Amino acid sequence: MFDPPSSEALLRAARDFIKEKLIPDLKDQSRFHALVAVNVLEIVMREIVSGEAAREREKARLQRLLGLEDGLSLEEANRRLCKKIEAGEISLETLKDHLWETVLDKVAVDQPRYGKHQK
Amino acid sequence: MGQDSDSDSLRLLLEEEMKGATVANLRRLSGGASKETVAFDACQNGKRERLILRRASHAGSGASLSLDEEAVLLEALSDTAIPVPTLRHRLQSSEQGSGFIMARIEGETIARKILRDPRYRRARREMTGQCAEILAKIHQLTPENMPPLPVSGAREEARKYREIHDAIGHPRPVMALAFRWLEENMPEETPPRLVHGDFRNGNFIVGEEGIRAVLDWELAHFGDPLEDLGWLCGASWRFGVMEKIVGGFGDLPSLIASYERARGEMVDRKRLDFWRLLGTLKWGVICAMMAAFNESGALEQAAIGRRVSETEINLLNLLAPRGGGGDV
Repeated sequence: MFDPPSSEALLRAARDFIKEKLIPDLKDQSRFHALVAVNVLEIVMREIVSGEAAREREKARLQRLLGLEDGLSLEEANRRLCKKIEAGEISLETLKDHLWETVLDKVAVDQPRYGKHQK
Repeated sequence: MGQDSDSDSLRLLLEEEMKGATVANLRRLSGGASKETVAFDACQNGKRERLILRRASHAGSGASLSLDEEAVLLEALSDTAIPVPTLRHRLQSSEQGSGFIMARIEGETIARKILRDPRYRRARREMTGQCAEILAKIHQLTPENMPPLPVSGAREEARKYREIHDAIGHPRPVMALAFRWLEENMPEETPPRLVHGDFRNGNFIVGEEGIRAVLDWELAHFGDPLEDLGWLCGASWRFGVMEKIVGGFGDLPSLIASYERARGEMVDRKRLDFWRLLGTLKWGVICAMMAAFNESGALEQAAIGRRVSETEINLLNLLAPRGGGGDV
């Protein structure tokens, strides 16, 4: 229903404006905060592109680990997983791949350079 | 500085506090709404002193020391061989907030520069041994010969961060795993020693020869000395130089060997593992907390919420390393 540009393209335009037009004239604290703003926009851009698929993968893995009923939110599923971990009802060997894949998917959106150290 | 009127009133305040001195070259080094650090020069009787003002608009958060308490600690530490800036003056006028003035020691504090600039090549070689020696001196100090500070050992530190994590309420399986590991590996309590609480690159003033002073004592308390060693090895304090476990400049066996030599006792490796994990978890909880309780919607606090995933990688490297043997 929404016409172009896409949300990603809109964010990109805002990001480029801050980066190319504003930041060169800024100093000290304002410059630092503008760089943080660019970083935040880039996180959201990456999440728009790859977030949905990452959520689906996480849900499928949780489904295999926990056997979830339909309609359970990702947050509820993770809450259940936490309870099992806290109760010692699930072994690290069973969990390990799921936790790594989830965290690497998150870092790929939040801080792709950090994730590259790990693979 | 941004606003001239702001800068003028600060200069007047400082001249009022430092009776008879002329204040010049004010530069705000960092500052938010609640706490600021300002560099300035005070001229008196033809002598120029380089100084730093640390000021807070309100008292500490409860988790950390107030600036008044930090000033008392700095004063007590100036009688030891621990390198700290000399306390010069405590602010008298309370309506201006609390704070103190200390000597300004020249050098670099930006961790990324210290780790990358060729100018600090020698410093990087020296810093592991210097950290060990400074920590050994800090850890000799007991509650009997220091001003009153909170006492918090392994169990209490783990409990404190568990409580914050629970208050945030977001389910994080990696953290659940880490908290369970801590419970299962809880060490015996040790006799309380002075612990810096935030001993890492970024809180050091560094010259070409290495560490000139240790700053930011607001998380100081009495507890387990290995807390400081574990924190110093946190992956987030390597600022991208991941292969150097100790602060991005050193390796763990050298740190342990130098520390054992300086303290004259062995480091319990299992206890150190506990503190490395708790330190890594603690930084994750702090990032999550800053984002979750960001009432004013401040940008930096919001953004730091997305650094929690980085700390989850660091936790997995300690708890469930993949392939290459993990972070040891």
